[in-house]
Amino acid sequence: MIATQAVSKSYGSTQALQALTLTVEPGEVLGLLGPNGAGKTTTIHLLAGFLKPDSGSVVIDGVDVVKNPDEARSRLGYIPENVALYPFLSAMENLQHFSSLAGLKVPRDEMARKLVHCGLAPEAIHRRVSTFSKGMRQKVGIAIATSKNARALILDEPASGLDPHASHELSMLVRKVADEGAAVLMATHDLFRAKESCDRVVIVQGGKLVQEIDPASLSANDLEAIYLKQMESGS
Amino acid sequence: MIALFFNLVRFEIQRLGRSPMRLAAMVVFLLCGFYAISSGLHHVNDWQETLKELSQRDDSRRTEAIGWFDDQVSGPDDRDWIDVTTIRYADRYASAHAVMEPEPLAALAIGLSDIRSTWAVVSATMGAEPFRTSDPSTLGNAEKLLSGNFDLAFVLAYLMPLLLLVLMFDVSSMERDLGILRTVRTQTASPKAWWLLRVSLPILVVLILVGTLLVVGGIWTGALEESFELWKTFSLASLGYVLLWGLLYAAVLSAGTGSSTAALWMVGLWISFCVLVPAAVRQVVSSLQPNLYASELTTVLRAERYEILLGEVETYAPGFYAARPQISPPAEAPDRANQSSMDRMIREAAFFDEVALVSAKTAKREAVREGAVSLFGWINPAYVFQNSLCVLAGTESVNFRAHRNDILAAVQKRLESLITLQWKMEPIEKPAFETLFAHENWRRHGKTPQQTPLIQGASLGVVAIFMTALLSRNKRARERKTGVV
Repeated sequence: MIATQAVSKSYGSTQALQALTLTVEPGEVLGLLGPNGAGKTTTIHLLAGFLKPDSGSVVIDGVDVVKNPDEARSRLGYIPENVALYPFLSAMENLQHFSSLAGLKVPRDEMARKLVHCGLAPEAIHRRVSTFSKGMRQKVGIAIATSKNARALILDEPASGLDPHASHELSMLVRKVADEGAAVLMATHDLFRAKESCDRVVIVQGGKLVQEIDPASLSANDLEAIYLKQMESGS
Repeated sequence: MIALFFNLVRFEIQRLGRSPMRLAAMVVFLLCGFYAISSGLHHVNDWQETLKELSQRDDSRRTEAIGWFDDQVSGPDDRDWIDVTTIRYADRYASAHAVMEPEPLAALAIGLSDIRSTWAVVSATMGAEPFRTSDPSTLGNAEKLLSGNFDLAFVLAYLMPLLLLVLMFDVSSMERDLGILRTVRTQTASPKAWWLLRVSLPILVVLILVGTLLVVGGIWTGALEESFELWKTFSLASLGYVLLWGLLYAAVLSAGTGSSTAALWMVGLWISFCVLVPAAVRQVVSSLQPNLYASELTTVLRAERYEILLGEVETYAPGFYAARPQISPPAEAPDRANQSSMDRMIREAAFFDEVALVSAKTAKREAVREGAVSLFGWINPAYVFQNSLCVLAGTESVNFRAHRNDILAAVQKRLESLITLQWKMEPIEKPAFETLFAHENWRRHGKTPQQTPLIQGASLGVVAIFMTALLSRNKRARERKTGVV
């Protein structure tokens, strides 16, 4: 489970989050929608333990991130907007390195299966990632984040810059991870992708949660209309 | 932690294996080290050859003179004016040189040994000359201008920090440049342990390379066998110096900048500690305490010598006899030859007193100069380290001062023997002749440096640790404030 309880965070005089409360249950994918500067990345950085909240609590799988950051991190998978990897290592070596950092001993054939499972072509597994496209790097990033069987997965605008096919593959993959029991929080601008992969969508603006939506009950166009209406009323 | 260590070792091996620049830097460093050791060995071999040649010359001359005693002749057939039973010729034919024997470690830290005299003639009547103008083969013993040494001490003091820089500048800053740091932080059980181990591994690599050079140097020079304790201290100081630079660079990395900024800071540190500070300190101290070279000393002493030789002997006789209560002026007037010889000894003794005085002043001046340099030791780690290695290797000015004392002691011993013999006014017999060149074995001068350099280095290390903690704290505060990780 991923949960924030009345979390506030400010940078100097700028209030990034105001008493934000979110909960993502295991097996659920929550879409975090909002314009630039709405507080999505701050929320993710708080959950990942990069930042400390001014007030409120942040919990990953029942562990308080502020009080016990190492334990919380061990239960968390994180995929940044631009997955960066060591360019002089192959996909396999990157996965092996990051898995080892997490204290995992994964056999090589299992790691190869994991990479293929995440959508990487088998012939690319032993190639250096310096030659990889963004989509291929995202797939390796997902393999890394999910390799430690994290109970919570956080994605920061993962589809940004991906072509529609790669973006669709990513949505399917996220869905698969959630179906395996992880709580997934995905910050995104992509309304269609949110509709495709999320069980719930929340819209944040000015650091506050302004609306919660069940995307299954709406078409993508309806979702866009609601989102635009919120943006207009907010501005 | 152990699993993380081995994982990072594997990662570093992969990184090094795919980075020709780093591999080339390591190979060049090792080659420089091996060249420096062989260059130092060449220098020490030349030094030992010179001492061997001098020893053979002395032996040959003494053997010749002892043969005259055995054959009951006064000197060589073709030079009948030579009488080895007189003070003047006994002193000349009881040939001896006060030599400074090289420590095996001198090959690793040449220090001043290629610009200072390493031997001097022991004579009561000819002065303790560093070289003979009539003997071109000995001219190399004159003091020379400082030309700079490419020895192992130089490689360790000045080139090792550059190698460490090449291996360390992008540790953790590369992750920041590439945007990997966030993934690392969420994947790693302890980001602090990850950072510490990442920073430690290049230091470990350099420690291994430096250790290899020290072991090879110890074996090649024989220091491991002949002077293990000095070699051990030499090695510990070198490894400690690697750690000190590791701490300084770690402080730079803890600021959390990108790799190019970190590299610039590290280069700045290297230039400051290896170029600017040593040069500035040298300049300041040289202007306050000008160095005395042997040429100046020789000129001063030549002037004193002529003054004493041409002056009235009565000026020096009272002091001469007062310093030697066991002898007194003869009650009966000696013959002219004996009187003349005794007067000569009085003048030589007076001259020796001048030499001893000038030597003491020079030693004091050197010590003051070193004290002035030492005051800046807190910010002059490369010089302090190199200087300490040279003290251990017996090639620093403190060791040459001890050598000068050996020369003076040998000359004084001979002078007193000849004075006693002359006072008896008897011809010199073979046993008395043999006592003239009998001396204790010449010492090697390597010694453990004083504690000050260690305290200064350790203090700089503590400052680096403090800066690491402070900069890390600032970095975390900045991240919390700006949200930029």
